[in-house]
Amino acid sequence: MTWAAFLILAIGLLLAILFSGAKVFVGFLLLNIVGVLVLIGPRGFGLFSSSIFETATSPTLVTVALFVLMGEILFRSGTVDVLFTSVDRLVGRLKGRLYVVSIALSTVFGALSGSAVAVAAMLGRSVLPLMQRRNYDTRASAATILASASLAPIIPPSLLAIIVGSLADVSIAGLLVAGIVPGLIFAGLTLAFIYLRGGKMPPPEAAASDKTVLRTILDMLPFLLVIFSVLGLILLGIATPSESAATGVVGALIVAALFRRLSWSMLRDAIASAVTIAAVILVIVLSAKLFS
Amino acid sequence: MLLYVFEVVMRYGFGAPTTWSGEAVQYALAVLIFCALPDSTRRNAHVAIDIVPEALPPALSIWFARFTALIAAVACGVAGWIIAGEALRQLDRGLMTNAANPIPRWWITAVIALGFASAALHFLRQTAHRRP
Repeated sequence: MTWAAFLILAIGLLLAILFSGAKVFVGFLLLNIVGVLVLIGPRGFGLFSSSIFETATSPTLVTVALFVLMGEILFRSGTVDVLFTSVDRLVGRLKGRLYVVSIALSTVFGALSGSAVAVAAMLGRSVLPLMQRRNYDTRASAATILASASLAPIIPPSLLAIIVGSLADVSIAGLLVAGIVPGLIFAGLTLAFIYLRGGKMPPPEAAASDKTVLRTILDMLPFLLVIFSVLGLILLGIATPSESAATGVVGALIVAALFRRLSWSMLRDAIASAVTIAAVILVIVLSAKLFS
Repeated sequence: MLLYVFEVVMRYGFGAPTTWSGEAVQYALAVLIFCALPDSTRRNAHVAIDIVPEALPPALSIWFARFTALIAAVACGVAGWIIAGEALRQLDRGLMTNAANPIPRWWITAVIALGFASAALHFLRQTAHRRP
């Protein structure tokens, strides 16, 4: 069998397994086992085992687990509620202001969590019901939230950047830093699209919070600690991406403590959830590594 | 997390980097993934593309789910068996990890094999489920 035929057959088999509803990691695992057996025979089992061992003990992938934990602590402690109120207060009286609020929130959340799913879930639970109550167009609201949640994999810390970097052997620090400007451009373009697309915009309204602007900005300052402990330490050359993820977790714990939201039960839930999410992501990566 | 923070503090605070903290974190990651794998399998938390099964009639969808669970059980079972064989080989040869502070390689390989084998049992159990 030629290489081209084998490759087409392998990709076809993988797609068939994936679309049958089988777990994604199972598709890659099965393909790797079959591929090793067909191409090398039982002698290739050592290669298969080594690939899984080396990937499971890769320092790059520690970053994924720690960034997931950082996001979980911030979201489960409820400290992101402070951000929601602050961003809502800072966005002035504009037509369709909740569109702007959701894009601004996604940009900030994107800098605190590397997962688009986490940001979409957060905005879907908090901003979307508010938009529906205020008669915003549901389709445009959902589109805004989903588009702006897609900022999370671009703006650092990005889980996608780490996974792509580890599979393609590209500098993780470089990929993370390279996401800042495109992320901000994408946020600006999403905002421009919302205002230029036409359609009826809801009338201007006041923010729910009546805090002063100064107080609002002060409330947001602790979150700079999280951003600094991740990006700042990478840019200053003090920490590697993996270590910066660990310092980011410490930053998240300090922020939760500052807002008096740090508790053992919250920490236990955040760790349990982060372990499950990280395991689910990483088992796909390590099953796919030999295939890549 | 604590080990990495400790490493940053030791390196930049005291100019005394350790050789063991990074390695310990790496081994801990492998143990974490493969201890969590059976539990995430038990709770059906793994990512799957379910467009096709969702479009099928419920009765057919159940059989589809059983079939994919069987495929998963076979894949994890075979992976566990292959890796367990590798762990025994490593034990036999006394292979150590390629690190500044080496440990027997089979310690981690055995955890990986057990994780896959346990996940295979959970998938096998799911073949008897009455819901998709």
